[in-house]
Amino acid sequence: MSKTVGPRPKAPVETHPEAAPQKKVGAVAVLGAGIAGMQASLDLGEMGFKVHLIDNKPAIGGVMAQLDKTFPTNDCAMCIMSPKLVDTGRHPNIQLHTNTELAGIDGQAGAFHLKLKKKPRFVDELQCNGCGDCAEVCPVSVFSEYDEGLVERKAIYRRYPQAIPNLFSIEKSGIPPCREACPAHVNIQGYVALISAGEYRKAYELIRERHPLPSVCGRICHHPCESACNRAEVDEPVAINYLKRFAADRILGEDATLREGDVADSQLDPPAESGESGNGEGKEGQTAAGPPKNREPVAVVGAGPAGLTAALDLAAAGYGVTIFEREAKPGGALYSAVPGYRLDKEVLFKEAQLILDHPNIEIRYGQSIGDRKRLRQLKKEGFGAVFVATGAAVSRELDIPGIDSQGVLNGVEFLHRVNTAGYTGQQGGADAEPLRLDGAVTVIGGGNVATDAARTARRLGARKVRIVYRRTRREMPAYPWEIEESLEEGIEILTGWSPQEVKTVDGRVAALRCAASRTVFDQEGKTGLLVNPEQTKELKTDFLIVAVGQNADPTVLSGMNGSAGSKGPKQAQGSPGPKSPKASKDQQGSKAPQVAKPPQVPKAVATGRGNTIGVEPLTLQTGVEWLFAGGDVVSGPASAVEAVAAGHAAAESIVRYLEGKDLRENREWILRPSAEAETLRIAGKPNRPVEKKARAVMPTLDPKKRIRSFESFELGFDEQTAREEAKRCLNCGTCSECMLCVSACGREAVNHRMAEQVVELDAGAVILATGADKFDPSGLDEYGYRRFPNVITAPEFERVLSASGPFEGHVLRPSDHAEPEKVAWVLCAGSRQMRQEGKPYCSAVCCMYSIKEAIIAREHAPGAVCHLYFMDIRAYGKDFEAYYERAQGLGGIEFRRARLSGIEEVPGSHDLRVMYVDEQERVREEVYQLVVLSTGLVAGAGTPELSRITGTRLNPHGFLAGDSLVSEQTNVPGIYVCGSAAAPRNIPESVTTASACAAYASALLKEARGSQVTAKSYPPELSLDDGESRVGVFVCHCGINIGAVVDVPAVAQYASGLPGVVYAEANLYTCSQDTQERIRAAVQERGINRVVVASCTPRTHEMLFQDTLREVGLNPFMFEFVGIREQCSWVHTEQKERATEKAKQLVAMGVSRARVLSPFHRSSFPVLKKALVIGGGVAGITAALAVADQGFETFLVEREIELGGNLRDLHYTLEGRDVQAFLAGLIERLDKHPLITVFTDCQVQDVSGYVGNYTTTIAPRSANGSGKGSKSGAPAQLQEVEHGAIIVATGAREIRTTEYLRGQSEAVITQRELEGRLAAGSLGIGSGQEDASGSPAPDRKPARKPVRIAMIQCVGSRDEQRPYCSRVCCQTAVKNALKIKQLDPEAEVTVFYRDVRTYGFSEEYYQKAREEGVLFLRYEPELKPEVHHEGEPPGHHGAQGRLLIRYRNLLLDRPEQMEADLLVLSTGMEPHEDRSIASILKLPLNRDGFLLEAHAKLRPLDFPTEGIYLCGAAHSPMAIQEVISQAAGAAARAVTLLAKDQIQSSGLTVQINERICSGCGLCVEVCPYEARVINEQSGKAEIIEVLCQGCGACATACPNGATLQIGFTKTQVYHMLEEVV
Amino acid sequence: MEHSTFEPRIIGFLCNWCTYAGADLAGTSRIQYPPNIRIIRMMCSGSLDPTYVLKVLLEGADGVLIGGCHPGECHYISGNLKARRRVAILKSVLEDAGLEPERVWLRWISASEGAYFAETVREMVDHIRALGPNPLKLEWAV
Repeated sequence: MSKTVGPRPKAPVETHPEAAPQKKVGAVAVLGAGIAGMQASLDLGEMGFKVHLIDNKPAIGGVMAQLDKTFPTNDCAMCIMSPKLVDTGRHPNIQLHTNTELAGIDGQAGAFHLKLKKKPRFVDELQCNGCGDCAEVCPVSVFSEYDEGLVERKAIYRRYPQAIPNLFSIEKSGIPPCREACPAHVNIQGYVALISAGEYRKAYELIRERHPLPSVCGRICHHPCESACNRAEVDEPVAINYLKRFAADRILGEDATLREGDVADSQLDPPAESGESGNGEGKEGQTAAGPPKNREPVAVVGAGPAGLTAALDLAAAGYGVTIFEREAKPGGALYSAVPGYRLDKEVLFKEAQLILDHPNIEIRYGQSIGDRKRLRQLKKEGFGAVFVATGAAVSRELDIPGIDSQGVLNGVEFLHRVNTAGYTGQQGGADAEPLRLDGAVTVIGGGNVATDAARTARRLGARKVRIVYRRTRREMPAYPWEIEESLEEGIEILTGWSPQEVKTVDGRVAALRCAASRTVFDQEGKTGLLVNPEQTKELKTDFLIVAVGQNADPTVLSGMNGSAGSKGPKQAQGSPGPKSPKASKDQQGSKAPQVAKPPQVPKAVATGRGNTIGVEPLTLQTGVEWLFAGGDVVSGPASAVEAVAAGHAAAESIVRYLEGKDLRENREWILRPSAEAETLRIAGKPNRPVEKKARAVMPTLDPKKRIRSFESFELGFDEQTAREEAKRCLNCGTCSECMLCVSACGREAVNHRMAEQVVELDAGAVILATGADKFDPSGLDEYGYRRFPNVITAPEFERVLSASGPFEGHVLRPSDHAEPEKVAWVLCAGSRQMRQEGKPYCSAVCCMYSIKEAIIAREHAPGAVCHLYFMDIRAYGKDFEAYYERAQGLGGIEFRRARLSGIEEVPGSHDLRVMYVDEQERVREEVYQLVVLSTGLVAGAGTPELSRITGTRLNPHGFLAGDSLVSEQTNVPGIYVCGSAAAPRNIPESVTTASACAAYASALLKEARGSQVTAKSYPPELSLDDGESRVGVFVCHCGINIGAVVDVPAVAQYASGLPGVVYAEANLYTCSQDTQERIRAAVQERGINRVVVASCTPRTHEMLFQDTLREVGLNPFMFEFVGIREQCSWVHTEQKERATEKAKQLVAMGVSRARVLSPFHRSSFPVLKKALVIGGGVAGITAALAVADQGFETFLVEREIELGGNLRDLHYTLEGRDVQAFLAGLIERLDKHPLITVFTDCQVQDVSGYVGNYTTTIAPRSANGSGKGSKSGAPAQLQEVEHGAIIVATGAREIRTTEYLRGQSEAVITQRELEGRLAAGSLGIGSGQEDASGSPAPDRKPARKPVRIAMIQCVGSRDEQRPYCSRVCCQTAVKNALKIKQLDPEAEVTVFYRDVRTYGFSEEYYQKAREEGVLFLRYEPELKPEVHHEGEPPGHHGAQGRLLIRYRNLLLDRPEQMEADLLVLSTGMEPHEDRSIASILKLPLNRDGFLLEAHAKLRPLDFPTEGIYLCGAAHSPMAIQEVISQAAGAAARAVTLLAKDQIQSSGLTVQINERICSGCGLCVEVCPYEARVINEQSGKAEIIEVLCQGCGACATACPNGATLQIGFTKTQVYHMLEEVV
Repeated sequence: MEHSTFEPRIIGFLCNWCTYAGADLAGTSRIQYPPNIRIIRMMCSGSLDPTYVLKVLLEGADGVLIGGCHPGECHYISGNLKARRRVAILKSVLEDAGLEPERVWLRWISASEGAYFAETVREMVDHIRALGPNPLKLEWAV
């Protein structure tokens, strides 16, 4: 066997245990900036770590930013989240990396090295101020993902109005296929978008950037763009070419004075491989149109589209260009070959003249280069390079008898004559005689020249015109529309006939004899023509026009290769051509650059079929290095746009050649430098539904009329048609690069050339918080999503409900924006499904959000009837059940337990018929106006890649796998996972797990805490407070956002006259960096000591200006903000005068207040860096360990003698983990931890102090109580400990009940007791059953009756006494039922339930239990199962006794009964009776007696009182892994406090004037934070500043005015009010 | 007609966390409303001193809008409920003083209700315009 050779596959993260421990990095990378990522970042930032918060979106906030309200509190999601957004955005230790993805990671826990890919925003983050002027002008509308596609947004956009960072960004999805298909790569989407916006001039200019002849092209182009158009998949391609013609006609028609210099400079074009390229400078030349630079001039031979394009590009690059043109007019084949009905010559000349007007271009007409004047001569005359673009205008000949007869015309010459001589001869040259073709005309050929000749002949009066072609019509090379139009004009097309002979009469054409012919294929697939001489036809004709193809003129190359037209050495196509002189030199190497000269090889120009010139295809260089060729002379007859493309390519090559640069480098894609690989891909079809809309039809002249003249028969679009047609564009590339935003931005922030960047950084730990995606129900056909407009998803309905959503919170349905009378929710849409299109797990959040949506919908539309179709309502969280009950009690909301069989539309109304099967298997249906699919969560699309990069494992459902007990730990040390990236989670669970991740990262990196953060330093405060108020006022234009409405200079002028104002000025953008300098100058020069800024809103900019004040040495409280944008210019746009008056008054109010501002210094307090944990269950132990692991001393107090709490009674988890072993491990760590002191058999007797400074008295509970473990011990007497933080982990207990014969029969036990028995391996049912529950004996009697076990759920929960759900009992029942089945597969297990609440991934175990035969029977709370003893009286120790359970079978709707050997009650959890901790710490309780956190959603582990934290079952019943998450999370919250040496008050606080305080205590009463106290010695009121949140309630309550609210004193407000009326 | 040209002066005392943010959202969403209101930011509707309202009314303001968070959503737990009690008393005082209590409006407007804020201002301007100028101001003008 051979060994594997080569490098082993490298694991993404390698650990080197033997390597010397690397220094840990005090920074953490958090991936994903939803609510979980923000929470983890804020916690870590507060703990003293540098945080890199990375998100692939342009703004942070995640899914929560899209939600309307949150359950179960109905809080507005944005209201509660936006302070977190702002905190995250401003936190000095958090660095945001938006639009950024993880690309790679190496290193190890403690010292990772990350490589990030930062996608370009195309908006400068330092310059953008979020004003939105760019989006106003952006012509591209795409579906808003923030509004779930219900409305549109622009391609340049801000994700949502409150987005942090408050910046716009541009979405680009690649090069649109139309632009890719266009040979000249004209920015088609761009000009189409501009036309849709009515910006015709800009559209025209944009076309001209890549195509100098838009009007011409708009008439004759064969538009490959339209063939590539994605719109064809919807209906028909956009009429791109007609749109181009519209824009060009419009501009050329209205403005004949358009000059070359008018064409705007573009950011994207022309391409540049480096800043110093000729093109880069060329832009300058183009706009300035200055004289040619001191460089060799270039000769261009031929003024066709290729020559003109090259000339213009070269002229723009600063080269003098001389064009040599044989004809007397420019245009080449466009002039001489294209008939006037296709191209109005005046249009051609006008556009050509625009090019020729360029000051660097000279044209010489009537100059034929070839035999008389040779190309080499041009070179000798001093032209540095020559571009040959002479076309292919020599007709091929047809060699048949009689072809020389009179009346036989050459097609090309015929067209040339008609075109150059004027269509009827009158206006032609002097030698032109009127050309009349009165008679029958036969045209031989099948190309465009043939159709042109035929149609021209028709217009010259030919009676009958016929085209004869050898092959089939399908094989005709002419464009299909040319053939179509020819037929319309009465031209006969005869195919399959090959001309054989011209029959003559008197030397003049009389007839054409043809033989039948057809195409044949030889064995190699090459085509040939088979002519059947037997089958002939004679066509009578008066004229014969031969149009069988064209060649290039061989004389052009005269003298180049010895003799004219001789074949030179074949230049292999595709092989690198000769390099430019400089490049050649470089290739010689650096040793002797001066000596080596290129060897003299014979230079020759290759020629090809039809006398075409051979060139290197990329560079268009011929075998002679100074000679370039392009257009038809290279390709043979082709289109004008291809010639234009060649012109661009040649000009690029010539510039490179003349500047000594490599001709080939970076030319694979001519549009952009290759660094922008991401934006170079070809955009696909936008993934969204598009309504069909027919393509606009070009109005044309009737064929009968049009054949009478050479007038253009296509009449052009009118404006409305054009704009409507332009709107059909799907915007495949999203941003159209029309550049309107560039000109709209007043701060020059938009930069379309931004490239993707690679950012590398070090981080000691990585937290994955990338969230989940929303399930897309398109695949579930029976729901009709995307087919029926009024079937929407719950996330979409969330936006419908939102006041900031598309309908401003009105409940409307999409199809007709009518208010629905009846709305249905379909729960588990895509979740709990065994089929492939759905997900098997429960998405955990849908039941609750559906209830919430129904409640809110009823609030917004009180008449709406709401029906929820569900399997089980999973209201398992804290206060969820009460919310569910409330919804049931509201009226109008009905819950229907049913299975949906389908949804169909009621014909004619867009109403929806929901068909379902009820619990009794009856088929029913009901009609709704709106159906909401309660779709669940799926693993994020980027998760597999993230898993690959980080080496973290995925679970079977594609989520990132955490440990089954410590959910945040991944398989990779140092990488943690939180939120919905690991499992479907609601907001508080996401926040909790995020904090837990912060705890683990903080523990890992504790040595490096503080090492990567630097406090910003400020200069000392200037002493400018001499009693005089000197106010400086800065009034902001905000570009045009304020300035266009409010007369800003007038406001500044007005301000300068206000009392106290010593300086006032108006700024374009007051938030820009230079204003800081202006404020500094005002401070230094005028001694201003108060600053008023009149601009946007304090909510986004107050902190920034306060910081500015500190930087210039002013106290930050000497600042006043006046909002004249949000409160004035943006809301009174049409009332400019009144807005200006209002702005003046607002400024006066601000100045008045500023005059009485006084400085304030935030106070700070030391923190005792120790924690107290109350409770020694799994929550308390985990919390204590988590705090101590982070390096802080911790005291743990437990009432009982033994540690472990409820965990002592649990043995295994649903996933099969050994609980006791886990607990033993925890206790062992606890005992060994040097920073933890454990007090068992003790209780907290008293706590005094406040956040950061607590003193706690610990008392022993029993005299003989002795501690367990080495360091623990019950003190004999009271003991005091001092600490800064408190974690409450007092837990809960199993509910005690007497229901269902509990306590009367030994056959009735609880789940805990059952678990104990199962762990011991025995069910303990009577002697006869003893062996059955142990390991099944092989010799067991087969006739034995199977063991029957019944379980009843919700015992003591969800009833009147305890209305809440205990959350864990369903999982426990499933766990134990599976264990029973494992021990005894014969056992019959029946579970009586109300709703099976196996949320999240535990759903799988429920399914497994059902598969294994566990019977689940539902009961109604009004009709609980009845339990009786059979045979023996109650209380008897019943081996013989059997339990009889009577119940109602709801499926069959009839009473039934069963016997059971054992009845197991799922009794749930309840709070401890002893509430002393709550009363000592003054902690609030909810109505069920559990401790109430500060905020159910965003502060689940905090109390309203700072410094005290919460975790575990004291919060609410929860599973072990959830307790562990909370405990670690609470530890993180505590450490955000303990990590600080000092805590600083926010400055939002009050001051007390002790002199007038009477000590009445009213302030103490009203303070919601217990921040106000009466000093027992002085009798005066005090403020505990660290507790104060600054609401000001006490200041208002104070009857004496002794309390002053900082920044809102009565004096200050009164001063404002003085100015207000 | 005096009423058609009468432009009411309305003072808004808005809480920092909900209604002021709602007014900002009306701005960022460019929702138009009449320029008759002058907004004064308070940290909490619960810290509104009733004398502020009295002062502006005595000096001739035609209406006062007090904006707070929806009940249950107060950033400071219960400040909005304090405001509600205070405003109730204040209105009865105004009534005793002979001033229409409907010149003082208390509204719960959340940070996401920009449109509702604008609508409230429009509605209030119309209402006060119909009601006419503050009679106290006329008396003081004598």
